[in-house]
Amino acid sequence: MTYSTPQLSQLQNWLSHVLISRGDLPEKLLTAGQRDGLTLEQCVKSTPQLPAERRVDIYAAGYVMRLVECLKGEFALLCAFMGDDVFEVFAKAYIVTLPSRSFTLHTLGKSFVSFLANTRPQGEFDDKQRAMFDVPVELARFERAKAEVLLAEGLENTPPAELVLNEFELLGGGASLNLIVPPCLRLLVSDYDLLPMVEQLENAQPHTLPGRETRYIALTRQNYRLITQPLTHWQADLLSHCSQAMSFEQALMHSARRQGMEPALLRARLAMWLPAAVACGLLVVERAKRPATNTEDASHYL
Amino acid sequence: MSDNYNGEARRNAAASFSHTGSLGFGVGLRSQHYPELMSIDHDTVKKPVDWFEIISENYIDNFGYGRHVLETLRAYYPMVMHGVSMNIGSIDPLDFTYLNKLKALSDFVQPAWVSDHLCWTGVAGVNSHDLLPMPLTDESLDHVIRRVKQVQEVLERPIVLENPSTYLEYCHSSLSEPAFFTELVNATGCGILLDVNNVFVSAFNHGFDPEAYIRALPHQQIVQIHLAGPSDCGDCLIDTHDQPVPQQVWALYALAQQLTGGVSTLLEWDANIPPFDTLVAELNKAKQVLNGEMPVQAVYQSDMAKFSTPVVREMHQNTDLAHSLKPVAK
Repeated sequence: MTYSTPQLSQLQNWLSHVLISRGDLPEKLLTAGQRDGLTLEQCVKSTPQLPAERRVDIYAAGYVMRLVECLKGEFALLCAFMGDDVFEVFAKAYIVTLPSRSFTLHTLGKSFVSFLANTRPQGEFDDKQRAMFDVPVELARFERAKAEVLLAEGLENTPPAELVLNEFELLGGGASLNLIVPPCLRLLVSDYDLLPMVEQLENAQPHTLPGRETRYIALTRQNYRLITQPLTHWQADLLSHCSQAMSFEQALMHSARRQGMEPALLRARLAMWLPAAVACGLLVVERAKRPATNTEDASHYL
Repeated sequence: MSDNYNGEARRNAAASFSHTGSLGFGVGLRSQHYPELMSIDHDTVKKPVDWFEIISENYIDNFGYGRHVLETLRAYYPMVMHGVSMNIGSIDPLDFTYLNKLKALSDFVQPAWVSDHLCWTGVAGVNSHDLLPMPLTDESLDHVIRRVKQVQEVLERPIVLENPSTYLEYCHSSLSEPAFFTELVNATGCGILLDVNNVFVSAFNHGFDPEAYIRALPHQQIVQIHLAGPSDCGDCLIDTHDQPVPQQVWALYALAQQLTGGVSTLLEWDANIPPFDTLVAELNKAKQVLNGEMPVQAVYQSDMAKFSTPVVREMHQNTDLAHSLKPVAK
């Protein structure tokens, strides 16, 4: 049987639909055929050695497997926590539900956290059951933040003077300074005490399910190394305000008001904490106006 | 780029590539090798390779350690940028956000050339992150010619396109791949990255003569050769980039070097990546081949499911980026 030659657009739409549709290969071919009006035998040459079905399946199966491997790389701790088989179920479902629309694989896992959150079972559960559903989401959020921190603009080329405070500046609790958060800062709030389990998973040790406790975590980078810094509530709140494109003084006043704290008390606490915060890359002293950098991602978890 | 790029400059594109000369023998820069490469004193130690090829997309929007390694190494080694997301054959509009970022990276790296693949990667905004085969028709050829010219305008240089491994052919293809390439380079002045492993894989899968394929290409436009090792999955060969180069591919390499007069050689190894010295030892076999010594190496037989075009992604856990949990200062 002979067929008319499909146009380039029709053919590419057909093969794309074969790749990204749900189901096994016959289901994929059916879906693509209904959408684009083409059949496998119209489009793909077949040989006795390698039938057309097998040829298309190399692409269809490879499409999912390749991206699952990529997600395993970004969410290695989550994969260790869930086990390969369970992780792959979620990863495949994510890839089929939300195909990549970016030229880069750096963003492949960007929506994986919300996908996991949105596919959690609904209903009444005891604490352990709830933790089993919640902790994977929290772990994924941690690993996504880590991936972003490692790729963002860091502090490696920041002048040393912007990474230390002198005594006079400290006495003023930062009042005379413009302190900004670096583009590589990410702030997380977790309903679980996540970090001990993170450490266990990183060291391939048996892990224990974390207890339900609110925890604030900052991730940043120094000398290309990831820094994971547990925070108190007031520290996290202040950093969150600092990331919202306002002056440090404004951030301090807003944060004090939100926490029902006298600004003077917050300033006093800050004087104790600022050297450590600047030293580990949570805040940078802006001594000269620098070009605007994108800090929008820094606070969106809080 | 000057307005008359599509005139004289394009006609002289072949000359511009030939003026670059052969870069010698290189490997793909992979994050697994960062610690070793950054520990070498490149000023005093004999360079293990002549040049590096980077995956462009791994360094776009990457301001982490990978960018630092790239900045360090580019001072010592020629670099080539090799992309996987140009989507040159797609019916989608060209992604100018991507192209502008590619141009910015090119300005930073100052590569000898910028390459991608004769393929499409997706339509309707979806990126399959795979190198999907083009129907080899007059319609496709006209389409790709138009887009190559547009890309060359943005990048302000002729680009280089690679023949991908393919597992399917379209019923209505009317041109051979060498004929398609010949028309394409004549119309645009772009260069060819000849992957002799891909020729071997596609020839096996479609039943054509790989030597005839290489002989039919416009050799003066071949800028670079890729080497890699595939997997034999019984009914087909898969381009896995995870094995030593088999002797059939070495034979095609020798032929290609003879026909081109000698162009830059690059070994790709993207999965099960070996230690750097093992990689260099495999690369150095190319020098033996040019001296007439043919390595004996069978194609790797695999009974496991394999997928082509392995993702080459920055693997942070394989660098020396220690995770650091610091005590909180209350």
